[in-house]
Amino acid sequence: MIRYTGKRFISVIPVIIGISIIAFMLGLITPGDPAAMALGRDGVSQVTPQLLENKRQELGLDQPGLIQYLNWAKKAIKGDLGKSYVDHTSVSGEILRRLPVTLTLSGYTMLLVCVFGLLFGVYSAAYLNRIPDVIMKFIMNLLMAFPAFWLGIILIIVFGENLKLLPTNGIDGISSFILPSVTLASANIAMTGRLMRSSMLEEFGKQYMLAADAKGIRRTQILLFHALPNAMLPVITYLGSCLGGILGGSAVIETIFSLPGIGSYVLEAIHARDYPIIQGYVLFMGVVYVIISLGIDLLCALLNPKMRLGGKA
Amino acid sequence: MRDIRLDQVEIRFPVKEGFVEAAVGVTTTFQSGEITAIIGESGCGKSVLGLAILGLLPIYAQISGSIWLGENDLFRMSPKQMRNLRGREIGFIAQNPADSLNPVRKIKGQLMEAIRLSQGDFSEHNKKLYGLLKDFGFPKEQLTRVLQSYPFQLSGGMKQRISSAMGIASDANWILADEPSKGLDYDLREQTYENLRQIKKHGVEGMIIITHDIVLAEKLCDSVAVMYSGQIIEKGKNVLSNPRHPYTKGLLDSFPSHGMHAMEGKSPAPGEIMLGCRFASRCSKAMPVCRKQSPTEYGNNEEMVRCFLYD
Repeated sequence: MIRYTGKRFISVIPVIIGISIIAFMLGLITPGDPAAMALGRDGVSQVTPQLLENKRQELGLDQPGLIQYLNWAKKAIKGDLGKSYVDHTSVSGEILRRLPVTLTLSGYTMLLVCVFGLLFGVYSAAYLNRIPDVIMKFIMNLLMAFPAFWLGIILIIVFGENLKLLPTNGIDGISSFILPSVTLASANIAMTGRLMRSSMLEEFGKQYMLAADAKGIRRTQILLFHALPNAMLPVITYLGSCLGGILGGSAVIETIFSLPGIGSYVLEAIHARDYPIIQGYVLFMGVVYVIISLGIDLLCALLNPKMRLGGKA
Repeated sequence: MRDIRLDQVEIRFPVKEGFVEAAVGVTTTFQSGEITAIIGESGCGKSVLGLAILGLLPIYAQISGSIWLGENDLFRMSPKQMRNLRGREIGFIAQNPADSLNPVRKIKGQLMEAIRLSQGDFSEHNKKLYGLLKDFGFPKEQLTRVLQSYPFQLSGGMKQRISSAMGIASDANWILADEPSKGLDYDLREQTYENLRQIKKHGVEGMIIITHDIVLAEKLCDSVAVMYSGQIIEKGKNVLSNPRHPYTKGLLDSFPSHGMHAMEGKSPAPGEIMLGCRFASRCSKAMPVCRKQSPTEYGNNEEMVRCFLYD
């Protein structure tokens, strides 16, 4: 297990380097001259070649790409992701300031996905091909078919505008996160539920399940203590990638519900071609995602006694 | 002492082209106090018969007839009643012990689950757990380690012993073992025989052993029922030493210990509708009547053969 952990940690390094290169390239290859735009925002109406040249030097844009990358990476390691072209605020500072909002949203969403995804899946499998299963399958298909932004708007209209039960924009305690996290969770709940269901069904066919049934123990015992622990393993792996999707998907939801998270931050930056922010966001999210999937892998190994004790990866 | 009596048991599975008949009017008695072997080639319906006795047939199986355990008809019991009957009345030893244990749970939990169904309180259950393992040949100093192990940490023989212990953990009166020696090497097979003897010593009322293993049947079983194409075609105490049905003779000759002479032909495909004796087309002693009429059972409950030669 220790060797496995070490191996997984080392394997993460090239991935992070790859992410950083991609994040940096984004700034280089996107059309539009950031120097010209920065000048425009500074209030310079007459852009002369001399002014442009000075601005390029100021922003470090005159150097070759590789040098620019190394400079950028060196600072990034120290936690400095540069300054916004628009308002000159520190990107990493702004990301950290907005991070709690995104993390809270993602956390609640993940909680909903874990609880309801597993519940729906197990419930559906337990009543295979009977009425509860048919209803659950219908609900899960429906949830999967709704685009998140559409569901978000519907929820705002129903619970915010008409019933006036829940806040629909800004942050005002936990209640502000209910509608956004439900919106963000719905499709993921459906996917997790379906995976959980099929994973349970796969276990049903195995010999140990027949043997457990032959013991005469209760059906709930068989479902929860025999099928579930085995069926969980692939679902946990999926939940890891799901969390990545939620972190990324929060950008749209944060905008719909006007939450000041990093998602809405980067969407504004994209409009303004504010490359340092976009680069910082891509790098930051990439690293977060890699760390999460590393954590999930280790969790899976921990849950699987064969990997935990056998030492085989 | 209660026998298990099968009365006109029919089991069929619907398939695209109609039905597959796994048991065709099986009527027989498994005597209490005896170990009965059910032998026969793959696909003859012997495992399905075992699952039927346990009430573990898939939902889509169509059943008729009766399986009597004392006064209870198992086919007329609710799923809940059957669940209460499994383990407590009829214990099961599954084939392939390696696959019959849950891979992600420790041995202790898996055994205790079954033991908890039996009478007694926590301390008695605990004592029973250790007693069981000792009976199945685990030395005292190994017990704690074995109980805290996952199945993959145990050897094949250990798993076989655990799986046998599990079959009687909830004090079942009857034991049904489904091919307990299937796919095991010589040493493990010998251990399995020993385990089955151990189970008999535990005071079970009776045992049914479904098997391909002729040595097992010879060594352990008091009587043998031979199945062919969904029917029991011969049953008795001396079937192995003195086979009467031509199929039984052919089957015995085909075993390695009897010279490995393969039988001509193939068993009828499941679902094939046949007039007359199901074995007639392969039988060297077939008479014209064999192809027209299905032979009934000649003999009694204990010694029976389904063949016109004994009319």
